[in-house]
Amino acid sequence: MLLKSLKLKDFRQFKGEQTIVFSDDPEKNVTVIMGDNGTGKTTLAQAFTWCLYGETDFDDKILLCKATLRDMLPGQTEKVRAELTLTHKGTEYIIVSEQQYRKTDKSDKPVEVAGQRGFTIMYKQGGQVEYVKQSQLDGRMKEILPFELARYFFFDGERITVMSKRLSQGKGDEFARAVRSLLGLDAFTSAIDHLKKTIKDYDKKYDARSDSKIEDYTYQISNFEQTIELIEMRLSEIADEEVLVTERIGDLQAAIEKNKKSEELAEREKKLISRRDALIVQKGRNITGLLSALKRAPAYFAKKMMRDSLQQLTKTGKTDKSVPFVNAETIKYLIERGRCICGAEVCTGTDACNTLTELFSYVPPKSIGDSIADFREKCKERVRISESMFDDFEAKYADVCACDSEYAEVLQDIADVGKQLLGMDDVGKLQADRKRYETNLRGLHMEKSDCERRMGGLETECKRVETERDKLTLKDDNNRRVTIYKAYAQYMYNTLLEQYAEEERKIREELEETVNDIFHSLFDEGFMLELSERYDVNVILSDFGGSSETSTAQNISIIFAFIAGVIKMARESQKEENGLLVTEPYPFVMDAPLSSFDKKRIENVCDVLPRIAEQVIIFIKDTDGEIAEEHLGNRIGRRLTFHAPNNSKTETYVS
Amino acid sequence: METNIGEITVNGVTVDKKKADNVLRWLIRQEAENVRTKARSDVQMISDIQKNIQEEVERR
Repeated sequence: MLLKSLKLKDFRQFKGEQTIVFSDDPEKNVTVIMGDNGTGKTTLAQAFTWCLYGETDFDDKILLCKATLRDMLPGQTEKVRAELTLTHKGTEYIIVSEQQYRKTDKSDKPVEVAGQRGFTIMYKQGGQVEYVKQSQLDGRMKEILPFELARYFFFDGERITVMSKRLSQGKGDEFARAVRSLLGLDAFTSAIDHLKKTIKDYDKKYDARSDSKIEDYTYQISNFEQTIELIEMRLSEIADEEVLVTERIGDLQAAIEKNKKSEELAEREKKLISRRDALIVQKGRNITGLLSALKRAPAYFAKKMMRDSLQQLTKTGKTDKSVPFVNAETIKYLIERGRCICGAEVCTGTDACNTLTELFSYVPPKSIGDSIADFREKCKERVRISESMFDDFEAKYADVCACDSEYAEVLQDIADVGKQLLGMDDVGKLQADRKRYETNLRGLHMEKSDCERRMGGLETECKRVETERDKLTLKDDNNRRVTIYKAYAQYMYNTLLEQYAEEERKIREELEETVNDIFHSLFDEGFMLELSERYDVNVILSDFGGSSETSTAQNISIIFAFIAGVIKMARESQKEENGLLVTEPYPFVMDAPLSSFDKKRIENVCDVLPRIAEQVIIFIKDTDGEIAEEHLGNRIGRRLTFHAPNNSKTETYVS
Repeated sequence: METNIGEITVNGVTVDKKKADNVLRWLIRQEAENVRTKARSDVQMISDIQKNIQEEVERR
């Protein structure tokens, strides 16, 4: 498959109809597409996958150009179109994807999808344009470039980690099938498939008239085969599910490790919130205490006045001369009675009368002495109480200030922790998810064992019935002939299966060697790449063994090496005239591949890739333009530039 | 199961390996060609294989 041109109409930033023609010159096989960030380089890479498979990685699934939408009236429709022209196995194909959009009058959803995506594959045959039938579209697309491999051929520099992980972890049977197809094993698999169907078809040719048991046996065998086929399908589904679940468990484990800090942070946040609440209560208590201390403030401030008053009282010698529990009525009664309690006579002018009369000045209701004594006691008490008022107030005030200060710090800490927690996943939820997937995986393992056990039993029983039928068929001339032909087909089928296994192993080993050669020409020695039976790529430390963690530059090199290895082998085995290996050259489309490399590795990549791939299409930033010119100059067949007028985010033009 | 040189027993039937290999070689060429051209459908391929086996087995 080599790309000739891509015609876009109102696809994202590409306003109106714009055509990008790629270089297919064998010598100058590089097409360089330059543009600033946001001008649509990644969009173009996505246009390929949308055109071929109807898939994009955009969050916003509306593909209609926003500038075009702006000029539309409500109710008006417009079509987004991508038309890719390519050659595959000597045939020119035109692959078209179309999607209609309608402008609405709703502000929250200004545009809506109108109808299904249209998908057409046309090819030129004898000067005529033919259409691939609707029912054959998927199969033909798989044959041109399987979706499972497309993401590696349309290499997106911004998704390196995901791609690298997918390359090193299990990808399922589809990926392995796709790689085998690209490595030219399609004819092998077709031959095996046709022989299997041929063997089954012979079963229908038996004539049951010679013995009715033949029909019974054939019916039983057919049932066995159908059940075995269903179990095989389920086993294939289980294998794919196991890959996905294992991958998900790995992702969750990685997320748990990555978010382990969030667990500590969440615990810290909890403690901080609890401390904040305690401080709010404490602050209330401190203010109450402060106000309580303030109640003694009048006594404290009156202390000097009270001391002065007491001194004045002492100086005046005003002491209490009253008789306890004796009031004015008592004295009046004694004077009127004319005799004192002590028996002395009380007459006007006597000393006793004079003394009693003088007592009127000191007894209640106007007992000045009592009042003075009371005043003195109160003063003493208040002075005593207010003695510690200032210290108490100062201490309470210090508590309020300390509490306020800590409260402010805690609030700040809560905000900081909240910021750190933002964007982090909840570890508890991740752990629960992981547990669920692990249970799921255990269930799949059990189901797989059960399926394999059932299939083993069915195969043995089927074999037994087949032997019984074969014995009967050999008794009739016509049926004997069918059995003989079938035996030949079975022999061919068995032979081809063995050859295929051997050929596939050889190809895988050769691919591993090729991938390592390319990897070492891009990246340092010291690492080895190992291909599993399912074409998973693992990095091995050459000297010590064991898998190794990978850096971004290393990840890119691995992906480059793997795909370049597949492309190289595909090209080379094209030269073989005999045998069942039938392959095809493929392009390498790379979005922003250079930015992660140092100068030496850029030189290596620019040197190696155009030699290996029949066609290289490379999207680079303006700033990397000089580097590309320096290292790819003599291989560049076409130079294209994306420019957005007035730095527009909604319009891009190709020149 | 191997029997005489050049013969093998499959499902109780003696298969002439030389004849079977002739059909296999023919099939390999056909499949390689068909992957490129897609000229023949599955049904046609199955019919061709059966015809070829019959011709090869019955050839003296």
